[in-house]
Amino acid sequence: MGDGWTRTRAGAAGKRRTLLPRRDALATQGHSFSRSNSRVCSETLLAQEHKGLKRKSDIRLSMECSSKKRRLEGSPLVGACKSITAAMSNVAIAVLNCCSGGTKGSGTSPSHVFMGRKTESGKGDAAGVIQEEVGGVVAEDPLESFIRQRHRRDRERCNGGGLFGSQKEREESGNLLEDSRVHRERSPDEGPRHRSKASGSVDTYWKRMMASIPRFSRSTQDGCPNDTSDVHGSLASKSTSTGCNPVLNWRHKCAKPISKLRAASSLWKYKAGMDSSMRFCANRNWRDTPKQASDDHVDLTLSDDDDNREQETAANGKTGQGAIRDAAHLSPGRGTSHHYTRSNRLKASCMGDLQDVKAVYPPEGGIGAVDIGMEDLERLEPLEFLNDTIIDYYTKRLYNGLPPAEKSRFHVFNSFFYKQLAEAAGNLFEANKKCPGYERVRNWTKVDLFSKDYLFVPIHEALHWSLAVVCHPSAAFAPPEDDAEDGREKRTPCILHLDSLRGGHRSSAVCARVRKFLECDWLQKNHVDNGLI
Amino acid sequence: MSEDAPADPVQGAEATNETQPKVEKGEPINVVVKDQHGIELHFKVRKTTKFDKIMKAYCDKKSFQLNQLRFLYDGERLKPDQSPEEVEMEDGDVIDCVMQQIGGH
Repeated sequence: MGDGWTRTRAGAAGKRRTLLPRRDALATQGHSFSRSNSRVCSETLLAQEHKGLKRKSDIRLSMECSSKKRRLEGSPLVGACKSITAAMSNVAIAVLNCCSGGTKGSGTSPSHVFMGRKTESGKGDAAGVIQEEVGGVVAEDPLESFIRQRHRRDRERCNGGGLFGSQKEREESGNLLEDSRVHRERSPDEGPRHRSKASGSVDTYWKRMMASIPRFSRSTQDGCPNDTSDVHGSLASKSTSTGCNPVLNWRHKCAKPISKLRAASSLWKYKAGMDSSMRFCANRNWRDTPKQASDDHVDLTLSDDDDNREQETAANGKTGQGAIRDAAHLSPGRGTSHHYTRSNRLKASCMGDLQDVKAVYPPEGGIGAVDIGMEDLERLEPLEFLNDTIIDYYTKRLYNGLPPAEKSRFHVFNSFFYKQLAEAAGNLFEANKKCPGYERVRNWTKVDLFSKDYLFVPIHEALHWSLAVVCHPSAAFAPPEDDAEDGREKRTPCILHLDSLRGGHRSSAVCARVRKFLECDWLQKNHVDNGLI
Repeated sequence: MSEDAPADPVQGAEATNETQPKVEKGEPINVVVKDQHGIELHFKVRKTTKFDKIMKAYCDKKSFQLNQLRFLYDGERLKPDQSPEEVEMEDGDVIDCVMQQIGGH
């Protein structure tokens, strides 16, 4: 059983001389090897296919060849696999675009890919795909209206709870901002005591109040454009040029371990990009100042305004009341929860009727089709966890998107496949078997795994997703080939484990389980030793 | 450890009126729903019964919500509107019941 791996290792060692030029070539391209005798698999096809999907996340890679663990980083294949994991997490692109409606410029509207058959050429316009059939039931209308309604609700919430609710308020605030700038320019000469003495009319009250809110004064001092269209336009063009939603940019940033503050500021940035440029400015300045940043909380600005409000209330009796209410309006997200608490958002957004709306992928249905419901859509919101439905949907979609000639080279496992192996290993009754978990997943694969070049195993453990890729499983068991026979160099079996989280899943355990399964499967398929299993 | 799926009132009414449809629907088969810990729950259903009924009965029995569970037959997801006939299930076949998996990054 394990002979195949060791044999291949011997073969690889024997062929080291022929491999050297390749490794050198890679090294000159800036790739680094932690082990000098690591070998790179020869196929770069994946790298070409998925070149566009690279993500700047710190993906820890470990490559395991034969029984000994060897690490290599930066090879083309690893890059390709990295981009595949990125692609897996990029599932949000498609469905989020579907959510957000108008994604102008994207070649095919993902909503029709997601939802099923398209009856009208709904290129770029969500309204074009209204008449779609969802699993045989025309259920697009409520879904569409729900998405729009939610979109509108978000917009209203951001505008209403934002800096400037209505046009009138905006004008008012614009004037006030100018006033406050004047005030601020003058203020260093006067002491703070002077200012408090000067508070007589409502105007001066306003000036003082606006100046006391640090966000406003800073945004005006830095010359932040008051014209909303500028920032909005630039941000919009940026998002279309990169071809992805700002949400995703933000999400990808969050893939790195960053401080809460940065996450919070990115969150605000995203919201600002969608709704109000002024908040974007305010946020930018807010992020740049370390003093504010020390609070390290999303609600930072809210607490500031709360303090101001209390002070002003104490100082100014009744006149202040109206203004204070407005000031509460000015603080972003006041009155509506902008915390992305998972449970609350899920509860709030799961609307009764739409809970039953399901989209089927692939649209023709059949065995193994994935049902995607509103609940799964909610999983694509920022800070939400992805679930197995989304992973399965996207792996299926990636697989179906391959050219037909290439499909036979790949096999993508179910997202529950590895869980079954892992569960069996932890089970008291099954752990002592020669191959724990093989019985559970024996019937799962109808295809011959050893005719495939690459096997993809989505791995879920401890609220975290990663991916294992088995390269050339057949080479581990097939008898050694002669070099002269085949023009190509001999394939090395290896298992890559791609994990975006440092200290995430244990690569050794993952590789051991997957390898054990493959060994059992090979023995079973070739009837070598039935008694073993 | 065994539990019969609740009989469909519509089917029951048909069966009393004429015996022919009952024969067409075929004899009941035993379906085993097995969870991740290997605990089995047996259901006796007709081949034309939708999985919806099995799933709901299982969830009631185990006090789970339906959307927390996934039912797999040979590694493929079962949909509530499918029936054992559609997926060519036979007597004594095992449905794997797994929990929803959620994860980040």
